[in-house]
Amino acid sequence: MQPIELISITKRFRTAEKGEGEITILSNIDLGVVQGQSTAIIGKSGSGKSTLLHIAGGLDSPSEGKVLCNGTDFATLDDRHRSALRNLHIGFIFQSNLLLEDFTALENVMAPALIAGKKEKECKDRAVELLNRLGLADRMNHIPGKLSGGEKQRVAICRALMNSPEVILADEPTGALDEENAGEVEQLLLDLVREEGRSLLLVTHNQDFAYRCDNVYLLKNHVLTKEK
Amino acid sequence: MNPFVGIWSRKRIAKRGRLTSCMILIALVMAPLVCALIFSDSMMEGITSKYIYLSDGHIQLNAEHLTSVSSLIGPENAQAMVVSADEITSGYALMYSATNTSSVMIKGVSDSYFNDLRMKQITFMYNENPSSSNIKGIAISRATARKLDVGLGDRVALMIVPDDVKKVLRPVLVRIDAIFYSGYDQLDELLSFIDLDYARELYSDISSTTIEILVTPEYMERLDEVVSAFGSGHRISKWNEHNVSVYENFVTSRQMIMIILMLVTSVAAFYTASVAQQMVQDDIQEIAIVKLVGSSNALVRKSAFISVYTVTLAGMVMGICLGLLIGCNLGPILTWLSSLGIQSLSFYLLDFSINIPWLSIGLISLMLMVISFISIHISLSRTRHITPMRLFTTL
Repeated sequence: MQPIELISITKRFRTAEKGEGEITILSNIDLGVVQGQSTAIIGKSGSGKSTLLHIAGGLDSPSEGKVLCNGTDFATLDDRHRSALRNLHIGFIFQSNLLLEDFTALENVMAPALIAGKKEKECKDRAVELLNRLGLADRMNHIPGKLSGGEKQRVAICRALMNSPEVILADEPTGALDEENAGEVEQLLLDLVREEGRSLLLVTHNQDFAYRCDNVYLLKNHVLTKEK
Repeated sequence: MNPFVGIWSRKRIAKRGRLTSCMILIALVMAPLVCALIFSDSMMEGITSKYIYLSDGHIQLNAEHLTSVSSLIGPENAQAMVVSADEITSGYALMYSATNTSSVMIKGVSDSYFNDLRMKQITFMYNENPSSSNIKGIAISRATARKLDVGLGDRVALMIVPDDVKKVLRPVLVRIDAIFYSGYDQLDELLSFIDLDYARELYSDISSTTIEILVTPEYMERLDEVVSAFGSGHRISKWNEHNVSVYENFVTSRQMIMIILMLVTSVAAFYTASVAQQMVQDDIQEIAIVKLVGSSNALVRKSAFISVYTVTLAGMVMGICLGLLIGCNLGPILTWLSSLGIQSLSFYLLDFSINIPWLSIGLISLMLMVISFISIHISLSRTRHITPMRLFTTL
């Protein structure tokens, strides 16, 4: 069973202007994220890469088609079950790290596991282990405002890995970082995914980063074509 | 409880000035409400006691059946129910001084009338050097003395309003041997006390004489049982039947005060809902992130609810404690106010023992808890519209 499977996904948006109707962003897309492999989607700005990632993560709904997460169709779930599925099986990393500003790095990393109802001690041990592994041992009790961009992104990666999800969805994870930090984060992400046997679905402009993944798809004219 | 809910709620309370303001506001609303309840309840209890102990007793029995109480209700009932039974003769008179006139009730009482219970309700100042003339003595209130501009040892004329139409209206001269003060001018200015035998001379009709009965504390709220112990065939009235307008005023006042306090409490409770609403508005991004990492809407609502409800309850407890603290120390404040001699204060009893109305305080608190519980829940319903997609549409 694939951790994430997109079947005949079409996404249309209603345009703001009255009478203009709808525009199609994605058209009849099929994509399977293979367990233990990394998959990159490349394409121009506005091509619908992020929309596809949001749909894959159950954050947005497709106009047509269905998204299966571990074989379960997101559309059939209520808020509680959909949230639980996202919490336990998917880790998100975005260009903007989206950390909780009042929480320390440690608390941010612990959040998904705490939400899942795991014991605080167990969560803390796992979070400390991840932060240590990503070189943030001395930054655990800092709030995001006191961390650099690279550190924040590493905290976001730790958070994404906290519940050991089958799949990590990453949207331009290095887009806001300088070259040195970007290189480090790219390597970290690929190593972690490989070492922990996770799947990665990556959306990026960065061709070099994309081609270090096992599979590469190009999103162009609303359709997805395999490049690698 | 989910550990994340606890951590998030604590962080919200710690970081938010608005939540602290909410707590302080609830405390500042509850404190005067509790204080007002203590004041009004204690004052009404106090006034009721003044009427009972100084004016009418708990029960009045017509003196046509004048005999010992135990012979009427049996010695066991008499011992269990009755503290004292005093014969009194009363009537009305106009009192004249050299400068002014006042209408008073003349109440003839024996020496045993002012027992310990009654003496707790009244303070007497006596004439240290009474003259040895044949003029009878009278005790008038401080309010009447002020009105007539007289003092201890002065003489005043009484125009006795006869209880028998055949009698002629006649003046008598009395000497002020005592001035009393019960703390409640409204009652005091109507009362004056003379010797029982002299009162019988002035008001000889049997209808002017009654037995004032004070009941034991156990039967104070069960006067009907005492009345029924006397059986039928007696003209008996309870204090509230004898003072219908006073009693009804108290009942109406209590109800009005409770309604007003409940309205104020409701406004405070609804305010908590607006705080919750504003908190959600401020936290849209945070809520979206928490949902992104897998929180359900129920968990988000629970956390927000706990934050606001905790400060509401904390504010309520603080307010009650503050109100009790002030309310229990009203004595010195009222003593100071009474010493100012402000005319409008004569409508209030300023000397009473503090009675904490736990039931009313509980009712108001319960109302605050229930209304804020419901209104916070309703105002938090909008969290379900906040989805993780907000993060990408607003960034």
